[in-house]
Amino acid sequence: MPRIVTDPEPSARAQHMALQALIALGTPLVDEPASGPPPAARAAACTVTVFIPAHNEAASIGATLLSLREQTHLPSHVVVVCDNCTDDTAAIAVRHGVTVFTTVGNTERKAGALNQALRHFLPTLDGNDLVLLMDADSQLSADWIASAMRALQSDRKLGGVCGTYLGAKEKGILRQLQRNEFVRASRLVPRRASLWVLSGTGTMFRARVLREIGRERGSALPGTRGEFYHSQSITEDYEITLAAKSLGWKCIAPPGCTASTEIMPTWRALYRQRLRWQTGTLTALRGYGMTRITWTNWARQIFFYLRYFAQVACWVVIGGSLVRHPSLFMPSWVVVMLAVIYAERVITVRKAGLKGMLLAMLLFPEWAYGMFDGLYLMRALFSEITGKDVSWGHLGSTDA
Amino acid sequence: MPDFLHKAADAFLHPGGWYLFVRVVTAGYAVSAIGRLIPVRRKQIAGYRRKPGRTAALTACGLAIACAIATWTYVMPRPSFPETLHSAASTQRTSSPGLGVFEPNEWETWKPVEGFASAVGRNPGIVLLYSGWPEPWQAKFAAMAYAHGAEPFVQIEPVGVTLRSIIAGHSDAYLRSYAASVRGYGHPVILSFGAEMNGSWYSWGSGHTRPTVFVAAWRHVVRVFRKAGARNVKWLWTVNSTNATAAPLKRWWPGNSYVNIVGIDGYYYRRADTFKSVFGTTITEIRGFTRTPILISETATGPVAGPSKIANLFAGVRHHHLLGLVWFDQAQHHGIFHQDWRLEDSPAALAAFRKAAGVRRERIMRR
Repeated sequence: MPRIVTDPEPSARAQHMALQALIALGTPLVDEPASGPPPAARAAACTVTVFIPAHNEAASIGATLLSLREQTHLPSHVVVVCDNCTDDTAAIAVRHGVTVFTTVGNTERKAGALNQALRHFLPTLDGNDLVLLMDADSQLSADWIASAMRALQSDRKLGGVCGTYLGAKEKGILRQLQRNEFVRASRLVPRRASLWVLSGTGTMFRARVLREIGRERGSALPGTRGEFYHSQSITEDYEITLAAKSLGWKCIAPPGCTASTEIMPTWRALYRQRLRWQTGTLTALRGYGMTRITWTNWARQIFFYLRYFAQVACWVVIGGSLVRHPSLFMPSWVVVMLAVIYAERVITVRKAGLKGMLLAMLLFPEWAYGMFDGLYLMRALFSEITGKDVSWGHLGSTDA
Repeated sequence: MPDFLHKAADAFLHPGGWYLFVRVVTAGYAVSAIGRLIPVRRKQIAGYRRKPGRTAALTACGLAIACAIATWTYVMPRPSFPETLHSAASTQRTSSPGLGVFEPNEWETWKPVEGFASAVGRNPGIVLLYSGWPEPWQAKFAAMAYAHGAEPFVQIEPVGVTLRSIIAGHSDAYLRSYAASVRGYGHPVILSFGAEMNGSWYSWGSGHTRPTVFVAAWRHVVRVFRKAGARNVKWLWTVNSTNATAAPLKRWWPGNSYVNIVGIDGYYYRRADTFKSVFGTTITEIRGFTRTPILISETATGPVAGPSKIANLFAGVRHHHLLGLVWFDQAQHHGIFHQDWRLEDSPAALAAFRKAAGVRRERIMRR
């Protein structure tokens, strides 16, 4: 059961806190001690503080807080960061007995809200304490916190961990298409040693990592000194992953951490979400430039664009050829290749259930869904080149 | 390099053009699909450390394999037939002659051609088809040929029509539609019209049609195709192998500007037959009026002549720097002129063929 913490400055740690406050506000005085107590001792000692940025999330905040209450390892402190809320979000949070932190004059969206809350609370935490930042519309699996803590405590080079996420179970073909996409993505994540993004759905950082990021902003990292999340980023989770990695921290999605997240109900909402993701990704990468850390991200983006162009070109070639002489002939080995591709599409969505597999078997819906990528890929590239701003496109602020 | 690798590289890289691109992309998708299906150890676990240099080693391996395939495909000369058609006799000395085949029912299914290819251990670069009058362009056959890296070679036979009516333009609609289809196909095609006119067994041949009429009809057909924009056609003028006593071939010759390849049909019927006796006179005579490249456009050695003649056939093709030969792979059972020509029916002939048709790697490497 989350405690209600009314006093964020426990007197026992006052001295330490004052020091950290200065660091968090951009005055680095001393570095964290490199050596600490052994992992077992740390495990017992460290606390978990949860921050939930919420902008008019009355519809989903209850379920989110409930998923925290059902954790096998309960967080020490839950803070709902109410950012320009005009609905009952704060009241619901209070009813659930958690701390409500209300932002003041925030114009920097989610990143700004989290920065205000972290500036307030981070100084109270020890460097080994853990901070969980999660979306107000996500529900964590019951042993999410326990699994994340286990990972962070057994590997000192780990700076942040997140979970894979699946779509909430709601009806509709578009929703099922997104669930299929998430299922495939979650299947692929553990196959790589590196993680592309510590998802905003739920990510746990060491407090010292966040402090280090705050300290390095404006010098080694893009942004303004003292801010944790890059206030100009519209995909603050992708940006902070690059920040943590650039500082030499490892980021993973350990087993046991899965989350359920909101799914876009309409094509328009999906387009806006994906456009925001893609533009934010490109902007963040531009901010970091080509480095030892980011070159794989750059390569991945180039691959995405080339793959899309290649696919479109193939359809043009096939279409043009069919128009010229309308007979389709495929040698047996091409049929085998197509069969392999088809089988993979169906097999890899097993976890999406029968409906997911049926949808994959129909081919066309997923093909159209894949072609849809082109819209936001090109639009994001266009706005990146022309420097035009892309709207926020978060479901909570557009449709709710 | 094993033959199957050569075949695989050919399957992708030989067809060329845009479909090559589609295939490479499809293969990329298929390979990544297989990669995603292979179970791997979970790497997103605390304490996992990537082995240093492993990614670099894997990348280097991939690049090395890609370079090896590219080298094999582009740098080392390949004996594929269309290439030998484009380049003149220069490569003929060292590479194996081009190989073509005729298989019954090949317009319906590629199986017989595949069977022939696997039996002889080489993909034919040319596949011959006979087309009656007024049969349409066999699009499926052509697409299959293209997909397998072969060039369609169509023998158009003006059966049931007089050459005079063709000259008068009565068949122009048919020819134009055929030409449009060929143009639509868009890849190189070998077309021949009124084959073996120097023989007396066809209505368009000696004794039935005057050579001047044949030449006029030939030129008319070529003109209609050219006017229709079918620039992808190579015109093959086909004669039957002849002997010194027969009427001169030059009388049937439409002229260098109307012919791209000269074809000679000739078979080893008897034990005494040799390349010289079957083709020698004909080649000498043709060389008397044109330098146009020569293809043995229909040939086979029958059971009577025996499999030992196959080496002689290939040696003759090489010696005369001919483009290659088209094997008439059909079992006939009707006297000395219609023997069982099918290679797959005789293990000895097949072995001799494989040996004779093989690419002489060591000579190519030395070059």
